[in-house]
Amino acid sequence: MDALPEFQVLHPTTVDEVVAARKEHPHSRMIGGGTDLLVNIRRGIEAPPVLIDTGDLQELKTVEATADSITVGASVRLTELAQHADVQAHYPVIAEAAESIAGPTHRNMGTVGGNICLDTRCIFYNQSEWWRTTNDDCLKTTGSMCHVAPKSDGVCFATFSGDLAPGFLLFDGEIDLIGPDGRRTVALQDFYTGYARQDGSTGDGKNYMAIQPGEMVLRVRGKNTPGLLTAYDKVRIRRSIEYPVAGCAVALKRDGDTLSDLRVAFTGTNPRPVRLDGTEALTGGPLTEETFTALDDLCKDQLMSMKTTFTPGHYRRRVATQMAKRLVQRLFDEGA
Amino acid sequence: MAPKPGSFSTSIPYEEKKLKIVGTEPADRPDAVDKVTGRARYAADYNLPGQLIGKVLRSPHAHARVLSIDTAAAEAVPGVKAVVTRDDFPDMAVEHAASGELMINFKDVTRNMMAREKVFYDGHPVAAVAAVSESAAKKALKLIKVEYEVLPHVIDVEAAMQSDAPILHEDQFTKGVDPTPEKPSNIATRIESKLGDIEAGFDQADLVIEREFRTKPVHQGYIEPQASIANYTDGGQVEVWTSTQGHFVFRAQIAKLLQLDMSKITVTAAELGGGFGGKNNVYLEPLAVVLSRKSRRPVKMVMTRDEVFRATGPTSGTHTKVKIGVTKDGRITAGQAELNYQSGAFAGSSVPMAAITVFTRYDIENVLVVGHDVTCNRPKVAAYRAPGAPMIAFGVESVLDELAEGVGMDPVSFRLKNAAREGTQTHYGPKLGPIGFVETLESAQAHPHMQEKLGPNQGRGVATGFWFTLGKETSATLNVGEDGTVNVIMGTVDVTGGGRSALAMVVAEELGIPTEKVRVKSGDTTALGFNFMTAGSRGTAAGSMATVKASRDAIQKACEVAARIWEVETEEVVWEDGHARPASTNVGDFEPLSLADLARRAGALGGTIAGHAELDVAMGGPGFGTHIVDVEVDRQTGAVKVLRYTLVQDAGKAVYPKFIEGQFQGGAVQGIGMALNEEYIYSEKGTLENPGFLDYRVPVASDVPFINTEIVEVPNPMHPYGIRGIGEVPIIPPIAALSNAIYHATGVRLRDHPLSPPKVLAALDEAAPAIAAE
Ligand SMILES: Cc1cc2nc3c(=O)[nH]c(=O)nc-3n(C[C@H](O)[C@H](O)[C@H](O)COP(=O)(O)OP(=O)(O)OC[C@H]3O[C@@H](n4cnc5c(N)ncnc54)[C@H](O)[C@@H]3O)c2cc1C
Ligand code: SF4
Repeated sequence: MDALPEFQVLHPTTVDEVVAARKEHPHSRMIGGGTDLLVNIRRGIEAPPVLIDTGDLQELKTVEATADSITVGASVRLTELAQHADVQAHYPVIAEAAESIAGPTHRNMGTVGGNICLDTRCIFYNQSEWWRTTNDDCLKTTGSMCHVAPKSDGVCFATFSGDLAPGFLLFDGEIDLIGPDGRRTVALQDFYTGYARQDGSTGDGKNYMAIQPGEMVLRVRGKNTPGLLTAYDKVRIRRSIEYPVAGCAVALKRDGDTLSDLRVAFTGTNPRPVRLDGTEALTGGPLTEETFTALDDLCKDQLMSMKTTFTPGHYRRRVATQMAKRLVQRLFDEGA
Repeated sequence: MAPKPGSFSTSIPYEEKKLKIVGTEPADRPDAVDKVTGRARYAADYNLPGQLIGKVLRSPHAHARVLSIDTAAAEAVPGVKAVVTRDDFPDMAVEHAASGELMINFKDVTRNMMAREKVFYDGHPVAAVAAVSESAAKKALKLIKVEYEVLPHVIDVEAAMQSDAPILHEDQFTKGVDPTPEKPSNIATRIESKLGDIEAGFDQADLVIEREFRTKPVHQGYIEPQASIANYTDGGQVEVWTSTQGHFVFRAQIAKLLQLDMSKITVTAAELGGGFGGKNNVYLEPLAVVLSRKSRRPVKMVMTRDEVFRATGPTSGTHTKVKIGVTKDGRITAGQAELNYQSGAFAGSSVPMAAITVFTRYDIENVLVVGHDVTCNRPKVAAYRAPGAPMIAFGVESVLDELAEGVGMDPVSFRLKNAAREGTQTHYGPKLGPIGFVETLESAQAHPHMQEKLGPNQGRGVATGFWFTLGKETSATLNVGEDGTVNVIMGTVDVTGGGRSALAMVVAEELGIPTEKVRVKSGDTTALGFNFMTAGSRGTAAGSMATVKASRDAIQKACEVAARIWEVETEEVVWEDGHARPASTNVGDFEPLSLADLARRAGALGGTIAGHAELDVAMGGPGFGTHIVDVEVDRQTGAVKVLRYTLVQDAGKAVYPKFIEGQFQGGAVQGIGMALNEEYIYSEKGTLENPGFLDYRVPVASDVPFINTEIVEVPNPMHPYGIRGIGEVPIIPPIAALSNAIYHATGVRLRDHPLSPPKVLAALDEAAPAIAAE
């Protein structure tokens, strides 16, 4: 293991102290469980001089989950979220996603804030300093070129693989932020900016969040719709201690034999979590072969298949689509 | 080649007797508590006053000529105390030596630890630095200027064998072909193992199947990275604490590589955090010693995981061809195989060992095995638990599975019909002695696992394995303390964590005292005579031969003490149940004396009761095993879920049955990992892309079911307790067993390792039209 560089750790107990500390240390970084950040620091990807720990912020450690809405503080640990009875009862997709992250010890440390802000991943990025130098640092760090797509012209395709975001996207999630200019709320859909440039979004795998310098995540929220059935599934090569090859969250509603609502979101495929666009068109009728073919088409259109991980991109897209179909079928059957 | 016992090697024949300790489950495992609480000292836990940190600069190229190395700027970094390169090490001539189950050549060893003319793989050391801190050392590494002439490289074995492939060693001409070729080649050696008449054998067959298989290199994956600390004193003493499976062999190699007297070098084997054959080779040790000599300070070096993957031995990647013929009634008439094994940067893969295991589980009259040892631009391969055997077993056991189906027999009955037994002529030379292979097949056949119902997309696979038990040089010393408790110094390394307990149990059995009264420790290289590497499943099998001899030696001394107390002749004293007793009533009416009684008085009656042994243990008692596995294949994702796993193996005699089970389970789990998702992935540039446990996917607990084990005991006739080596056999069958199970679940045969989800899915896709047509 490479030694960590030196840094200072602050342990504020109120959000206001965080804001002040961030002003005082402009190059500081927030740290939740450190299960992602410390790995990157050890690999020499970044070397923040000051880390601001969110672990003592009592006000951000609450989970409120009712039939109508869910609000989760940024400092809530993944284990707590996964085992929260109200979350399990009303938002199974979120509890299941939390339970599927990394391994048990990571979940005991990892926080919701850290998971929402999880850095994007790529085989050319998540490597030791030595490795990156040998292989000509790419543009997500200090280089000038993307090795996954050499013709990308300044765009990074590193993949977002946080497991919680897809679930919150199904509930039209919102995120509360605080920074030097005060508080603001952003739709989760807009919080993530990295859809590469095909769809006109400004971000990519390098600039994947609309978070401003000095800002931190306070809470993530979602609104329920009565009668929604939800579930999460994930393909990983190893069954634990593994980032998702692809993760899929589905919510649907069944009225009699009619599919009356359908929402699908993914992680592990694009530089952002993807809430599938166009699923409304598949509702209003029974669940048929045509529904699945149409779902297939939406996935093909919106999920990327870049070689950013060891599992080939086309494989990832294919199994992501398969998972979506299975979950839709399963939830539809459960709704009978 | 096959290890052959010398004419002066020792074996103590099997003694059938009632055992009180061997075969039981003592509560005490001496190393366990300290390992769990973190008090056990691994090599990286050793520190010396004034120590420096050593770091290695490694090649970023897969293949390049090293034109020049400029270390001036690095030496000027504050805190840097020494920098070494190829110029600090003497060159070595070709000289071969055994190191574990593979052979080494000192000309290559010196080039592998520090590149000379060329770098041969990504991660090949080119310089090393010792500095007061890791950050100073790393800073210095960045300032070393190496001028390379980058050369074309070749990674895969088949590509390396082509006549137009980039050549690693211009002076390497294929050995084993007549006449020796004039053109250099990456094929270092061709070997052959033959029995009967292969053509005639295939002529007798009614069904002949020939297939090709490929496997990717896999790493031993020990949790503890290589670590060493060396101290070259001003007086010329060299002390090394290191992570090794054989400190005596390491001492010999350090002495040779640095041209030092062995007597000046003390190597201590620290508590080992896993080795599996991967810690049979020196990497850091000579560098640390020379850095210490140059800096006149102790130097500590610990590899990062990245370095472990890039520069310490993985296994060979292989390409194999297997052709087997059977008669209608299921009798194998001929077996032919070609084994193309990568050796990495330097010649010397496991192909000679693998070649003799190919068909040895079966009684086949006509055999032809050809093997090639092939150099390519990857790290030099190291041994890994039954080196080379899992890959060829994959081929042979897959083809056997097809043949069994072809002649309408179930896989176990087919294997039973052809199974090797006592007296079977092997294709590599000897006839087999008493072995337990048939017993493992019969137990597997009768196992409740076989009755479990399989659902849709589920399948059951069977495969078998065979490996040797190495003997070789083994020493031990036993001292009885004044209170009658016993210290045993062993010369092997406790590579499994159970070795010390097993040896303690054997000593306790011999002396007739409770196991808790015996403590076994590994001694440094000044404490004992030479010990070969703890490899080839020999730890307990050969180690106990030395401790039995040492125990009997000590008993003889104890009897002498008793004789002096009773004033009788030593021959008139016998040792029974932990006590010296008069040999008969004629000797006199004496109260039996316990070991403690005798030890207390020994000081004044001739000195400490002690025993020792310096043996060349005869090799013998090979082990056989049969594995059964059930899998479920997800047809949409290609994921293979291991549902049930059962392993039956002949242990000869299980000294400590729980440990045997642990070894069986550990071997099977490593085999499952090897089969499903482990692989070295190289970029086009020839750099390893997945040098870490996140992307080099060893299995985790959620990936494997409980491994059921069954121990068969057919005593090894060459060992007083009948013990066979058991550590390696369990890793051999899993790839084949899983591949067979996948076939029975899906109708698709996988011959391209690993059996990972993307590959399984691709194979299912490819077969889809064919299966649909059926
Ligand atoms: C082996 C392994 C497997 C993993 N598998 C998975 C997986 O399957 N799925 C998955 O989703 N993740 C996985 N992870 C990543 C990680 O463990 C989780 O995502 C975890 O939730 C991260 O939370 P944390 O609190 O530890 O984040 P940290 O490492 O502390 O922080 C991550 C990032 O978020 C920022 N941050 C933290 N809190 C805030 C805040 N309140 N406001 C603004 N920014 C903030 C940090 O500055 C940093 O950039 C894995 C990690 C490892 C090591
Ligand atoms: S996608 Fe391209 S730019 Fe982004 S991390 Fe990977 S190689 Fe670098």
